[in-house]
Amino acid sequence: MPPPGLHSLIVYDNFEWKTAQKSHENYQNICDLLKIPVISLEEYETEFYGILKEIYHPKLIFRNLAKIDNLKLGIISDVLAGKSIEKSYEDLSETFGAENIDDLNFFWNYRFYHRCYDLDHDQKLDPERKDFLNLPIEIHHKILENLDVKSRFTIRKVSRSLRDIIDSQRVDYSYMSIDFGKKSIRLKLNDFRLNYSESSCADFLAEWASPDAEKIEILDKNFQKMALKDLEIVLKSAKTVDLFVVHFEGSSSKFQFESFLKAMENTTFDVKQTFIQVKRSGEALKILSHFKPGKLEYISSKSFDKNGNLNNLVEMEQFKKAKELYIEEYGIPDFSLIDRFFGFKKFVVRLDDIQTKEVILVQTALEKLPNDRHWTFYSDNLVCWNVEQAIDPSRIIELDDQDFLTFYETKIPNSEDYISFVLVEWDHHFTMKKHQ
Amino acid sequence: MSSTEQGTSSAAPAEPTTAPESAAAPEVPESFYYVHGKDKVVHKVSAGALQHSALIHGMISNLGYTEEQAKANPFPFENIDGDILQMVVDWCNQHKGKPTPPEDTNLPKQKEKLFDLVLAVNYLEIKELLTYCCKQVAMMVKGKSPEEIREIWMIPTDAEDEAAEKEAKKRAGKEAAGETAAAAGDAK
Repeated sequence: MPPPGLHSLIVYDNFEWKTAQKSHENYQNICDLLKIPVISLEEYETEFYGILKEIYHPKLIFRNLAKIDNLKLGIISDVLAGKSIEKSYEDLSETFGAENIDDLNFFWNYRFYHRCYDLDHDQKLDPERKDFLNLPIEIHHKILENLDVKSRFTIRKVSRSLRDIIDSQRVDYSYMSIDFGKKSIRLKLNDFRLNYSESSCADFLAEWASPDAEKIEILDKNFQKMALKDLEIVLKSAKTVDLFVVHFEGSSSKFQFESFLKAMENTTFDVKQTFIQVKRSGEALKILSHFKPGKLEYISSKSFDKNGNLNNLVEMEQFKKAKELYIEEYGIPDFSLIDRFFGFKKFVVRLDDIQTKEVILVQTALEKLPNDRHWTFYSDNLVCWNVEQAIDPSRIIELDDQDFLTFYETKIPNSEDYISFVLVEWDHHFTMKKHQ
Repeated sequence: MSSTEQGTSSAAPAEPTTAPESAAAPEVPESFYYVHGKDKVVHKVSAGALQHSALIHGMISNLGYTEEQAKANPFPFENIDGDILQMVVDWCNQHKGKPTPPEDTNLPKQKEKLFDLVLAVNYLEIKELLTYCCKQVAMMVKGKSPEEIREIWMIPTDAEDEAAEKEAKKRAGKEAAGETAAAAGDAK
């Protein structure tokens, strides 16, 4: 037997110029949704043409309320078609006559079907609900979104269902850092710290923390496993991280690095700034490759061997699309790569040595670039005189020779812009800054 | 049916005033609608205040009711307790046409009331108030241990949950077996 409302649905489909076959398809979709039995196309066609005949019979008063047995199917049909509430109301009014549509009922029904395809829904909320578990699941999500990092860790221990919600949510962190040592692992998430170690004797020095910072000490002989498991959960649920710091102490193991890389697999969070310290320089690039190029603006890297392969780094998209780069403790690029650094607003690099002609080349490039560039060059073999030789005396407008540094302000000819030089010989570096 | 009048008292259309010729279009008098909860107490609320509720706003934006029609057809929210609806109406009135502040400290502290308010606000689709309410529910468990959270939110442990599930399955199995036996008896 066809469901109540089929008559109105056919009238409505006819209004929308649907053929019997199209109308049957629409009807099938509605039945699928409502989980009610479908009548065959043949039977449907008989109904369809019978109703059409009635509609076009000149003696029939088409807009007869008695015939509009139920508009629910028509409303669902509109919901399925993605029709707006206004359009649906307009069309149904035109088809059946506005006077035959109970406004209030229509709006209730429309809105309900948007969420719940239950024909018998009585427009009431479910029974008395006074506790958390009976709140709708989307509200659970919304509530748990408001928890701070520490509470999120605690909630995971409350029940499996809450843990699943927490794990399904994506979180924005302003700060995330992971320190690996032989005897301990430290995880910092915003203001919250988790220290994992076997005993209270950790690898890391006590550091200043804000009085509001929450801290949990986990002393367990399986601290590595526990830390890596938590880390994996945190990384998987991270959405964006403003500053991401990874710090492998000298005492850290290769196993820890491999485990960290494994935890990074399949993560999709965006990082804006990163500081990476590794034991072996090649490891930094492996970490860097996980970050989305373009989103990553600031790269700072350090390796214990200071032997990083810059040829590989400069080819990485993450490098090409960054804005600031600090790699003076990572590796030494060949000077032939220097033009690859000219796209950065700020960079700090270490070179083997710096000759006058090289300073001139950099200075010429800097003159042509926009303002607010701040480039620093380190070299253990820095000879300040080599740099000073590159400065055209006719351009110097200020010179300040102090004990610890020498400052030159030069004006670019035919321009409003300046380039300043700060030379710090005792610390083996000099800086060039273009500004207005 | 008792009636409490909420919102602005100037329900009647304003008297036309002689505006200077350069003035912009004349001010449209504010329209009012009526809502009632489970207790049938009717609250008069301006369309401006009701804009906070996406559900009601969607309904009234197409109705074009006159004052009389609106009065005669209060929106029935049988599923919302009277005191909760009163809170919602008060909030909508207080925040009518104003940007909502980042925090709202006037929410009920009592757990049951807050959960009721969450349900009502979710149902009425009042986005900002729902955000405040959810924050408040989250604040209940800040700094608490898992055991304390279980107690506050009345959440069973996984073991209790599994036991209850097992018990329910067992009961359902027994009932099904009983029905089959009864059907077999009938057939005989």
